[in-house]
Amino acid sequence: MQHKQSQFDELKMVEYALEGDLDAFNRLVMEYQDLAYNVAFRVLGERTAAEDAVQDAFISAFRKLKSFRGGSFKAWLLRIVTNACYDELRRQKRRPLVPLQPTDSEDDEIESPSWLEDPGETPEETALREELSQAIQNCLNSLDNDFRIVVVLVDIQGMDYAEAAETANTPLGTIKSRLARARMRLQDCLRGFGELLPEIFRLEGERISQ
Amino acid sequence: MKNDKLHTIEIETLSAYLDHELSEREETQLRDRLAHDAELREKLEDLRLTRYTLRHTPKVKRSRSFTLSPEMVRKQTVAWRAINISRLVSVAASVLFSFMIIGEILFSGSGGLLAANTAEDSVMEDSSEEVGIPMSMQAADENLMEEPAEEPMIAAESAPVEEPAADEPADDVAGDTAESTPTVSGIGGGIEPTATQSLEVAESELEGTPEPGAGGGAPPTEPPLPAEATGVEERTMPSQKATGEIGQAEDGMAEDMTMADDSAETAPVEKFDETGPTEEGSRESIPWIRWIQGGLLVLAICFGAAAIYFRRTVR
Repeated sequence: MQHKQSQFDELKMVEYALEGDLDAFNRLVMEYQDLAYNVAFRVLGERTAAEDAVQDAFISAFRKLKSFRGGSFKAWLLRIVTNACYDELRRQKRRPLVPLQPTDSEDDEIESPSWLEDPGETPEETALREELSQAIQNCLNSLDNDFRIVVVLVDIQGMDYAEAAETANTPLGTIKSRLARARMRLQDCLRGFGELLPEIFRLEGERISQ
Repeated sequence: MKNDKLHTIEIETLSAYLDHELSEREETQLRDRLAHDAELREKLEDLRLTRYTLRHTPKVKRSRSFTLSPEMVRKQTVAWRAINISRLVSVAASVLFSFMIIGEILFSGSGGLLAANTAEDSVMEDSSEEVGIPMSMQAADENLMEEPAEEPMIAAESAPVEEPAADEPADDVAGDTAESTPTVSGIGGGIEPTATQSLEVAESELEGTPEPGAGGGAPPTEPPLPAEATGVEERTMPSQKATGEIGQAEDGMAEDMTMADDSAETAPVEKFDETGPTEEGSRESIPWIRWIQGGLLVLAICFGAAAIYFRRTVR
């Protein structure tokens, strides 16, 4: 019931936005900006680039809102986000950038940047989370762009194959094969980070295998 | 290779099985296999752990909001309008330029064909008008046939020239026939005229003026005659003399050669005259077309570059 209400609101917001109501569109932005940013960050692996891509994607979405023909607004929006990521990757290929490590006022590298901090967790948990996040990101970066996007959509964002196919504008069979191959490569990669992986996941792995 | 293929298919099936993306039948088959295949079970667990790890990838917190401001939208709208206009102008200029190039190629191609047809038609008309002239050509051929072995050098020289002469239009032949009269008189003086001299002589003969380059030869006593009559009459003269004097016959053959040369020379001149006005007309229009084409090309390139520049700068 709540899902239906949310769906109804979403469509209403889209309708209002189509009439030029920027506030209505900004409600949609607020609804999806975390998801869009996480997808962009995992695909691009860099904070500033991800922010640029997401901002571009929302502007582009507002401009192209007339091309939305119903269906899943989330999939439509994430398709624009992934396209913006592809644009950003192409731009990076043309003009490679050296990612800046976050530093404090004394020019020392910050181990736990504010955007990774969670006020509800202990420093150890934060460090653990960051360690895992970095290990996964390193492995994701080793994948081809097409494979990385599928893994991000299905495994990290939890989309089903059909939704991922719609978002990536790729046939379902291709999604299936790309995902399987990407998982195999990630499995090898993450094994290399075995000691870095948080204990909970190693224990979880042992529990699952038993 | 087969094992690799099977392996990939197995991995795909196992991966889809984890995500519940297999059909019931496929799922049942895989469960049966898993019950008996320990290696397959191990692979499945490896994949499950990887998937589990990825599913628990920590969420990244954004450092700012991405809500749009009216200025942001307006700025982008103006920028995109500029990009779209630039693209449109560039594409339109490119299309027009392409059409002009294609049109020019097609037009000049058909124009060329038309010009060639016109020249051929005019030649055909001239030939049909003067039907009696080919007789003089026959006389010239007979002359050449009579003395082929006596002067092999001359025969060899005349061979390539004679063929086009036979195909030449009748009006050319008529002109050449008229040339034979002064050359005959030139023979009397023992001077072998060149092709240019023969042409000059022919012209002067037709105009009724005395031949300037006849040397010591006697001026022609006959009044200028129409081309047809002159041709027939004078054709007989070298052959008559050839029966008595071999040297004169040789000269007559040489004259015929010059006649053939003349006919070969005059033909292209007349064709050029016929196609001349068409080419001049197209030459006059070419600079304007080139200017327009150049302008379109510059437009296409400039606006295309502007569109690319705007696209790269707009964020």
